[in-house]
Amino acid sequence: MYGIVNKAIESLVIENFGVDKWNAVKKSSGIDVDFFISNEPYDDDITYALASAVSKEMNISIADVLVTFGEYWVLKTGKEKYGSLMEAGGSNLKAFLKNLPSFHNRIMLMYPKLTPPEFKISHEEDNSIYIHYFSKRVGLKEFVRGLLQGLGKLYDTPVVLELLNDRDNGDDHEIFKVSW
Amino acid sequence: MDIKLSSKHFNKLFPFHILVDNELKIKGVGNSIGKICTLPIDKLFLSYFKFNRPQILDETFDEILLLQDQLIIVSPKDKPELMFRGQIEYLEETNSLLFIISPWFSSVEKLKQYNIGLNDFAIHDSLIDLLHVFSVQELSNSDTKELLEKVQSQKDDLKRVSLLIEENVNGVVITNDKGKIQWVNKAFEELTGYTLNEAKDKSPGSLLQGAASDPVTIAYLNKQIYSGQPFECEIINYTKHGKEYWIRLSGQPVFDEKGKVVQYFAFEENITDRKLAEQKLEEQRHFYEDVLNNIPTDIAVFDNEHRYLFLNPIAIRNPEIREWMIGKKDEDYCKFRNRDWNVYKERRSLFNRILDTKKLYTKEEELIDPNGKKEYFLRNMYPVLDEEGDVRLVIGYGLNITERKLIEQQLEIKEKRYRDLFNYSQALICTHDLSGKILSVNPALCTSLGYLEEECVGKSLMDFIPEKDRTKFHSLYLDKIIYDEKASDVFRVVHKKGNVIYLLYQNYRVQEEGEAPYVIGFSQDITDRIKAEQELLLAKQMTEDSARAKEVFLANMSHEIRTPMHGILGIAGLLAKTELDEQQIKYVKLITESANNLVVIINDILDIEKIGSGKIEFESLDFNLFDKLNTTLQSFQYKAEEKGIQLVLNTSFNDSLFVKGDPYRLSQILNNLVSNALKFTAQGKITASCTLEEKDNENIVLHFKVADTGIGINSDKLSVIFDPFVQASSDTTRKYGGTGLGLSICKNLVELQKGNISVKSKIGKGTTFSFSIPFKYGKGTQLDDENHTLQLNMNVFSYKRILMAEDVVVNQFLAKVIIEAAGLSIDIANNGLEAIELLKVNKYDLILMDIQMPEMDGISATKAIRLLEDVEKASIPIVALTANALVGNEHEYYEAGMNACLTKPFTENKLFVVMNKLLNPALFLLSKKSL
Repeated sequence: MYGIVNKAIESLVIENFGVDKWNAVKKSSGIDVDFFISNEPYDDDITYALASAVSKEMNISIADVLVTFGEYWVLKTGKEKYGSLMEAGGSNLKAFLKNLPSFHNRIMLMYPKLTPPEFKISHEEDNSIYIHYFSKRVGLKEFVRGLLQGLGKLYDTPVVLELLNDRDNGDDHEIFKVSW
Repeated sequence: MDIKLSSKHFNKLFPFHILVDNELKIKGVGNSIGKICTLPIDKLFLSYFKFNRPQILDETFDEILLLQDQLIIVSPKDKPELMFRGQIEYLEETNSLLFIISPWFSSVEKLKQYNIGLNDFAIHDSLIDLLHVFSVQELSNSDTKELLEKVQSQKDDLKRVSLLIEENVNGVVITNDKGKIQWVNKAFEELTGYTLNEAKDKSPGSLLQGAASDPVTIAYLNKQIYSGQPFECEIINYTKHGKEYWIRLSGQPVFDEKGKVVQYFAFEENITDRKLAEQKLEEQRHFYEDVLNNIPTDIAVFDNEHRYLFLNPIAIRNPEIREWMIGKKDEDYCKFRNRDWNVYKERRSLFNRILDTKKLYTKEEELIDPNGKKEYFLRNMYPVLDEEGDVRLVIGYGLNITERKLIEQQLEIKEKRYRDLFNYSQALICTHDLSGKILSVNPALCTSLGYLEEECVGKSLMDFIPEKDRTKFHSLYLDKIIYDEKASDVFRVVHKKGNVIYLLYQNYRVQEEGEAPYVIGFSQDITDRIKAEQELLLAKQMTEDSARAKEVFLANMSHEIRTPMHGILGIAGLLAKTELDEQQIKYVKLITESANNLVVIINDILDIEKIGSGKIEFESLDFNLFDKLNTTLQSFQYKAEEKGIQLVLNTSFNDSLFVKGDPYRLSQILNNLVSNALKFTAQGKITASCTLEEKDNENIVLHFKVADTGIGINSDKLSVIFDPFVQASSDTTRKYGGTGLGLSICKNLVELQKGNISVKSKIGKGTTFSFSIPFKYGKGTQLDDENHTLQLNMNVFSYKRILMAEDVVVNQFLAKVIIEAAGLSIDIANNGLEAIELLKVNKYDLILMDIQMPEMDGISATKAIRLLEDVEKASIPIVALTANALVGNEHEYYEAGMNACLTKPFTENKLFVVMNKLLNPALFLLSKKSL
């Protein structure tokens, strides 16, 4: 995972709970990294450890941590770091969701060391769309859920998510039906 | 294979293309470029676009055609900042130019500005990814910036910490987990003298500790370090050069994440100065404690909760209890010593009072020991306040003031005594300041003045003295007391009732140290005495007046008796010289004796008076003793023979002894004694004797004795025989006559000449009177006296002319008869004035001058004569003839200029002897003095 993800977690914790909590999280996670470089790839373990530590420190489930983080990622990190890019990606939720696959494909070009997840869309309707999530990482589907919820909030379009496929259930990838 | 693209395809692949004909008119545009700028068909391309690169010289089709195979950059004329990049392709078929261009953005944000999205680009257009890369680039930049800031911040923190340690004034040592030094700071180097290199890998203990380092502290340090515990202690260390110093060492182990000691970190604070100061402080504390412990007073110091902080040995003797007391309260002490709980309560209440009032509390305690001996203590407790004014300490001390107290009591008693003395003294006492303002008065003075104390105090002494005395109050009293420091005199003071009282005062200026000087006055009311004195003075005056009157009377009486007596005796003398029969002779003799007796009586009376008034005077003349005795006895010889009595002079002295004294008084005494002896002796003999009693070179004391064989004196009368008016028996006067003054006169005459007289007698056997008189040895000049009648040179009287001034006719007659009978001529003047007139016109050789005369007395006349211009007449000899026999008058006569004096009644012989002397110039000059 690139540093920007860890930075986002750090930012999320500090913003909501303060530096001390973040230090506690770091200590709890055993991650002794003072500064995450956004464009530097870090071991995925680090991200998982941080998320687990947050879950532990905040006494919330890891799923909730990931959802929260997903939303935060869109609303805060995405907006701050890639604001114009995201705005250029679509003028509404549906347009943005439709660009989501290309967006991630282009990211792969830009971050050669990253293995970004791949998204596909299907069942495009006026008020819904299927988002296919392919990732070699396990356990981040709740992060995706948070991302999708965050996008709904970004475009001021309340969404309902429905997990249609789930690798935990033996499927090869996750499918979220996003309805608005 | 040719690729043929429909407009739709072409437009999808190149959504920003522009097609221009050979007239440079716009013939077609892509879908997306229309969103950025308006490009109407058939309008001139160059009206809307301009070439940025390369520049074209001629805006012609051919010129632009030449730009094939080059990258061109064009901008819309209405958006010159927006650049399109691409290339130009010539389409031969249509003789037109195809601009394959795409907008060039430096950031994603620009898209929004020109209102286009990612979908407006051909998917293959790498600008999208480029923009993405830009974005990532920015993110990287932002990261870098953030990182740099963070690094800088950490660097600053690190620097601060590093500086903190490096520049710390205390020595800092970091050792590894084995306790070997890894790093020291500058202060350590300065403190110890060891550099980092020298200290590295050594253990601090081996490097710095030495002989004086406390082994207990070293053991403690080792224990803490080995057990991974922090440590803190003070220990003596040594510099590289062996100098001793004190440090305060505090350190701790540093653990890694796993709790394993990785290093030790220690601070070394140089506390040598503090230690020395503490040492000094400790010494001072000892000093002050020694002082406090040895002060002879009990001292206790409390904190503000009444806990003992200090007690000296006087307060608590037992050192163990004293130590135990520190930090305890009185209640602990009372419990411990099982003391009366009231002691605690009282002390606590007192303590609380001091806390409340914050003021010193003092009280005196009287303690009585089991033997009944009283001791007094002055208990003081006073608060020591802190800067906020709160009580920090309370110091209590008790001073044994028994001695002072006893002195005070003594003083009080003394003061009471003095006060009583002042209050009950009958002496009048007051004090006043140097201006005369009264400070105090005692009751006796108040009583004397009639004022109350408050009516006197504060007033001036002047207010109490009579107005006329006030002007001199300052000069006579205040100035004197100020400068002489004492004054004594009499004040006249006005009593409240207005009467003046006299105060005899004795006042002193006194001054106690540090006080203004004042006057203490003692006085007594002498008003009664003054009055008595005044009365006495009056009485004395009266007595003196009376005495004077008596004297005058006696003088007059004497004068008045002598004058006729002179006549009687003179005439009787004349009568005796006539032819008389035996009967007549007897009568004349009786007349003469009676008259002589009367003269003796008068003389006795006058002598007694002179003695009584102290006016008697004694002559100091050289005379021949034997002659004097002989002549005196001779005058009685006739009478003795007549009575058939033997009169004997018995003396070993011959006529060579001359003594100096009063021959007349000696005669008078002997006359008196012999005359008495004759009077009281019927038969036998009378022996007068004179013997030497004692003598030295200048003085001779002669002892005289007159012994008779007469009737004797009763022994009970012997003791009073010399008293005046006393006679041996009441019959004596009747039988023998006399005034009873003779012996009294003798005794006085003897004693006044420093002699003594005594008497021995036996009734029927006789009486012996003895007396002694001291004389000086005299010179051998023979004294003339009336016994030398035979030696009178009657020739001297020849042709001499005498002037007599006398107012009494009988005396005139008598003198005239006697003088003329002696062959002299005489003129009579009735008074002094006449005498002067006669002297002026006649020549006289001598004047007989009566004293008391009408018109002008003898003294005045003599004075006038002595002042006459005619020197011969002025120096004529003058003899005073006076019936005034009082001593003192003679001086007056001589002072007036008279040359001799005869007291009436005088005998013819006496007169001639005097006249003979004065008329014989040789004798006159020779014996002038003795007259």
